[in-house]
Amino acid sequence: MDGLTMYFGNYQHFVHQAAWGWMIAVYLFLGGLGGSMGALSSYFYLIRKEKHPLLFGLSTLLGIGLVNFGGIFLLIHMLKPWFAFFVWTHPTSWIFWGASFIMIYTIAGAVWGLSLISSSINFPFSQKLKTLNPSLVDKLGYISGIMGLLTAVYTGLLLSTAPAITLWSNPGLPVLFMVSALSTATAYFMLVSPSHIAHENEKLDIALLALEIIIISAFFNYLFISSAAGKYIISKMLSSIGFMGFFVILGLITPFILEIYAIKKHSKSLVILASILVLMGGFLLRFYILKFGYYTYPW
Amino acid sequence: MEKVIPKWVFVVDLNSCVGCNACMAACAQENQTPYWSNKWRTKVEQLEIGEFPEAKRVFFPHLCMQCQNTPCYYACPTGATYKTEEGIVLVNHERCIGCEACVIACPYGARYPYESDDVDECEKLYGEEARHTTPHIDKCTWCYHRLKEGLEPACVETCPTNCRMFGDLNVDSYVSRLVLEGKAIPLSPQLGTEPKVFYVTSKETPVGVVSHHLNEPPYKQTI
Repeated sequence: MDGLTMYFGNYQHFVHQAAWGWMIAVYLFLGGLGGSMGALSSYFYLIRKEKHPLLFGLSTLLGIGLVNFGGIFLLIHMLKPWFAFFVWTHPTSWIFWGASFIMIYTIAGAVWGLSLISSSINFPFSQKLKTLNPSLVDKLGYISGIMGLLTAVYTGLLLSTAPAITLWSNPGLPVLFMVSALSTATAYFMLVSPSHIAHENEKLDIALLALEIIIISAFFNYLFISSAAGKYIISKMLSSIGFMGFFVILGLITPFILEIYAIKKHSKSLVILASILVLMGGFLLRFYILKFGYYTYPW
Repeated sequence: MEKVIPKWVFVVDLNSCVGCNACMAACAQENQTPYWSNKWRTKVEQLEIGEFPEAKRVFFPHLCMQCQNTPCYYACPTGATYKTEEGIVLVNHERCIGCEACVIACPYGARYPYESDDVDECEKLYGEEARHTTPHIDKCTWCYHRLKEGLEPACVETCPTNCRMFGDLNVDSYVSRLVLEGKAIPLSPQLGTEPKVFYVTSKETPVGVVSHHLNEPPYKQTI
């Protein structure tokens, strides 16, 4: 019996959820990263007026590719993936909304992304896309960005519907996943963007990592004071080398410090190292959130 | 005459469970559950508490709580999980895609995947009588097919110590009085799921959450 423990004279039984493992972690990670790539592309191109159509068009298309590639992991996990289209039939489920966000993001983002790159790259429909009304194309860009962001938020909402899993069933998780997803997308832009956009992303990522550190600290506080299950989970987290060493220290605090240092020293190599660590941290966060998903059973 | 919809409830008396597991066997036989993969619709947990010479073994039967506020129903993206007019939560095997969102959502561990291998084994064992012909998420139905015929769930009928009891709140009975007088209480009421399985607790059974609520007023029945 895993984790039979005693608090205040009462027994509670903590059981690790075995339904969702590393494949769902990949789905959540790629959903967050890919969605946020689209959201940030729309933000930089349409709001910040950074006129790099090729960069932001390709990034949106890559983001869509990653989200849908991640979706394959969810499909593989299902018992009957060939009936997956049924997910659009029951709106009380977050999977219904997630699938809808992804579908709209894929369609709007693909048209917007292809329109942006059509001025630089020739492909079968490029001439037709050039003739599209620019106002319509911009609207698709906004829709793509919003749906990309909602896709990232959805990955947290999906887990928050398990009332007996203390770590998941709280309003902080969707916020944590959104901030982490945006952080991994800024890490991507730090790797591939021209220097001034990379610099903008560095500043943004420092803010996002600071926010993520605050949220993770708030989670620790919540788990310490919330319940017996919270105390059990935090004891597991603090004794996990993978979580504390690879996620908290290497995937969160180290890139935060490296990026502050890189901004002062204008060091590209430090930025590359920090970006890789942020991406690694993004995946590990989701992996360990699933790993520390413990049911509290009343027997 | 207006049709009266039964308000079925299930009561488990923890004082009388002896851990014989006859309920699990009866359920497996009745519902073709994949016992060969150690998956059960109902289970009797065995807890060993204390140390010699004070050591004890206690038993805790559990099954689907048929919650009034149903997390698994809300989590299901395909509508495969649905409720009958009597509030029994069922799964449409054909419709279920096996995403396991309901497994994650259930606070009582009542659901499990009936995988392709299990379907193959079921068809091998039961032949044309096999009722699990496609992979799906499976759960206890309180033997709904028997209830419709006026019979009790198989586990209730089999239980040799009357630990498992079944009744209708519309009808005055020992079972309905246990529930309405607050002598039998639900598990984890703080989750707001409003389970329809109620437990008569025992001093021997270390049910943390249940014992927290022993002195609370009778459970408000909204079903």
